[in-house]
Amino acid sequence: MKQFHLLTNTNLDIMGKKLFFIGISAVAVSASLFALFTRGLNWGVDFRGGTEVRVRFLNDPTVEQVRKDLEALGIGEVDLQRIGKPEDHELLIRIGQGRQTQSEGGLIGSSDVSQKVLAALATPEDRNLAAAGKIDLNQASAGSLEALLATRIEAAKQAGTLPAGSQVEARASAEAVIAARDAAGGLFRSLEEVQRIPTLPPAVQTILKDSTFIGQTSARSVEYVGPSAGRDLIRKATWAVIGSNVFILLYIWVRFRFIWGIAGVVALFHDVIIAMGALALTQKEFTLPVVAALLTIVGYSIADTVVVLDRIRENLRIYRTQDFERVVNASINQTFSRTILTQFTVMLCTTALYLYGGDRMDALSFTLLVGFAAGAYSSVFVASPILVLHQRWWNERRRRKA
Amino acid sequence: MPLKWRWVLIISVTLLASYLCFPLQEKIKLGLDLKGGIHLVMRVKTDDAVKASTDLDAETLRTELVKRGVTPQKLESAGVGRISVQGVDSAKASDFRDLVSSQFSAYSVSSKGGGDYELEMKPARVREIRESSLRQALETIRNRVDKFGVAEPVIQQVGFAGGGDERILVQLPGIQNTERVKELIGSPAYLEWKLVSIPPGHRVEDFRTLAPASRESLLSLFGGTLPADTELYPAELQQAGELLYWPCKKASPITGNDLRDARRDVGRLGDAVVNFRLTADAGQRFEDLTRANEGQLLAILLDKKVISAPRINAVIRDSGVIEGSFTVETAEDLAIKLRSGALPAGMELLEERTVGPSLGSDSIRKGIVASVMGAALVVIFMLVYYRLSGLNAIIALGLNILLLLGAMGYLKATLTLPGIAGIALTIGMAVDANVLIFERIREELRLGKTVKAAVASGFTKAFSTIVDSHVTTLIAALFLFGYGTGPVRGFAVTLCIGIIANLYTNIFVSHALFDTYLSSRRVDHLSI
Repeated sequence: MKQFHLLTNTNLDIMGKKLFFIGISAVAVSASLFALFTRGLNWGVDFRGGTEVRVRFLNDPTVEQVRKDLEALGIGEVDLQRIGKPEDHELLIRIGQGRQTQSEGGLIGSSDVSQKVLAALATPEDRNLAAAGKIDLNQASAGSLEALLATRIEAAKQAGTLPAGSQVEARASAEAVIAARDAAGGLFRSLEEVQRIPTLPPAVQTILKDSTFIGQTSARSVEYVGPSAGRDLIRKATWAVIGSNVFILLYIWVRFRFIWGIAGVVALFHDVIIAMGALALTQKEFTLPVVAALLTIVGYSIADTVVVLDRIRENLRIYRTQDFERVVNASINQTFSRTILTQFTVMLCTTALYLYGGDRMDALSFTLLVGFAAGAYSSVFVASPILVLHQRWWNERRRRKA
Repeated sequence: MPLKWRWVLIISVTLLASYLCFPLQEKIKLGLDLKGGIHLVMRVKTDDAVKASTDLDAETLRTELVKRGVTPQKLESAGVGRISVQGVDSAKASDFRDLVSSQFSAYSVSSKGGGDYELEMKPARVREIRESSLRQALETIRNRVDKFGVAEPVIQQVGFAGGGDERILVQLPGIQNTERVKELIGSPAYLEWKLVSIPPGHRVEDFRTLAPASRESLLSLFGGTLPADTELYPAELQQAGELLYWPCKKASPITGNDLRDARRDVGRLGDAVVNFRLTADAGQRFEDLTRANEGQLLAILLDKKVISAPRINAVIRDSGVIEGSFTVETAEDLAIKLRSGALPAGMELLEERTVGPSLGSDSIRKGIVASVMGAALVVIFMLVYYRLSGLNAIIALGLNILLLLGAMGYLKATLTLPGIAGIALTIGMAVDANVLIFERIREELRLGKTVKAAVASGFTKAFSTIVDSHVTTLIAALFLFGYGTGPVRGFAVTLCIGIIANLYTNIFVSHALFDTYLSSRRVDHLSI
């Protein structure tokens, strides 16, 4: 059986065009830095502070209307973004830090903003229903639904419409309703959907029909981060990136040579800067998982560089008399196929994650995708040319001294 | 190691990992971002506790000084941990210093000249107060959450205590009613009973129709200035956004500390009330108080706000009711808070994350689809590119994931949303070492070595490369672990375990598979 080959026995003169390849990187890094300084990162709630509410709507919302409704609240800067599949009718509503509010309970900085947001998005009909004492099944918690059912069941028994001895469980019914709502994606579309829940006793169905309604919105998630958290996180993230680079540098120094470690770390900064530049360009949200992605790029991209360095070291032992530049070139060619193949398998998984992982993984997988691509390039075309350039400078200096 | 023993080891490890991770639903804990629930990070304002302690010390100091005939012009607590004393008579200066050094050794004194002094609480004492109020806050919150009834809550300290940045993490799986929870665990719930001051010339009954009232109208009722023992406290109920006040005595003869029990109950009018019982000692005091003040108004304050001010109609001994504008839920929550004790300091909310269960299960489904897609693509690629040897890599890959899940089950690590990404990534990276080894074997084969020799030297030569690249990746993953909290840490955990498991499956298992294949027959051409 023949072997399947791709890019084996390549004999590319990479070192001969090293300035060209470094030039491409320099352009990409400059463009990234330019994007970072001009457009800036789209800081997520983790870093910027404020409130982020993910709302699912019954009917497709118009962004302008929602914006108008929310700005009327005077809760600060409002930023809206459609999210998920179009048929999901979901908006990510981001609200700036705004004023510090003291909630009733004395929990300072508490954001009752999400409640205000949902209240502001209610239609006039819904508001009337709520004012009439009905509760919104799309927003009710299991506890409040249970309380409602318990009082109404009790009242029905008093009034004689329900036999005094009949067993109607308020808690079990409330939980069944909430479970059905979760299964329906967090939002009932109509009361009929509720009436179809098989485990609900008829008495409960009557109560639900009389005292509840199907509201327009439901909050799928709420995140609030206080104003002080962001700075702390940025500082810690910076230290984590620098710290991991320092230790990687030390490890490569111990196992190889100091200057090789420098070359590896330069390649890493190259990858991280390009990934961040892509984030600035696409304005994808910069969140905590994105920081995790950046550190993963650091860890993974260096692995590829190490594979090349390892081969250079091995070849230097074998071909002692050969010119350094030629040894490096040969090493790159010998490891070229595996650099491409290992990156390719990881990119397969990252692409699957990007395409099918859902919007909560979007920024994370996008960062990985860009960073891994930059990492594959830098292992071959950035780190190794730096070694060669350094060696040449070193030889030059030695010759001049002699 | 003989082949037989290698297989014994491999099979034992595989069985152990399977035991540790199956059934998945039971053994793998899901993070809040996947199963839904509330995540809160709060800062305990321990400055409050330090300040309260300083205030108390300032009062004691004043009384002690008066006893010794030292009467400074001014003595007040000047912020967190500081007491300023002004105008101490120079003849009494040594008395003052003696007292402070003997009874207030928690403070260091500095002279500001001209009989002025400043007392500053020593850092060790400040730290002690901060730590103890954090412990008390943790205890109280734990109590409240337990009584609220949440399955598997997490309540723990995060970061360091003693430096003024004491933080508490609370995670409540499956709970979504954030507002209620925040109110339940975040409010101090300090309960006090205070007698209402009746303005001169007013009867209790008349005054009840006037109060609560605005600050201005109350002041005018009292003729411009309040009596020295009286202060205005806001009423909980507001009228059209305007704050209304009750004039109450400063002293609180009974407080929440005197409670023995508190339960939600139904009042005379069918409204929700909270029933309380006092300790024996406090019951006696309550009896004395109510006997001496029958017919007066007794205000009940929660966190310095008046929730009701009923008239004392009869002598009350050790039990009674608290009325207010409660719903069933708020009455229940107040009873829980009163039973659990008051928080020693206010809380500041730093972070709140609520994820609905429907969003969580969406994410799990999508994460699984993406991981399976990624794995399928990798499997197809390896089979096409490396043929039968690709099968070897796939067995190693499957084992790698099994070990990852087993280790997570054993370590009780939490699977978070980024953690799923970590697993998908592990699938992609798992075959890396296989690729390195296989490419090396191909190289050796090209050099004309026999299959057996090529495989042996392929593994040997790739070994150092694989170790080097795994160690560098692990360094970054460990930093990620140190950096992250919650979801990000979950990602780091899957990544770290994945890398280590990968070393084992690729170097040990994959090698054993090759050796077994080659030892049982003569192989002239390796399918690679």
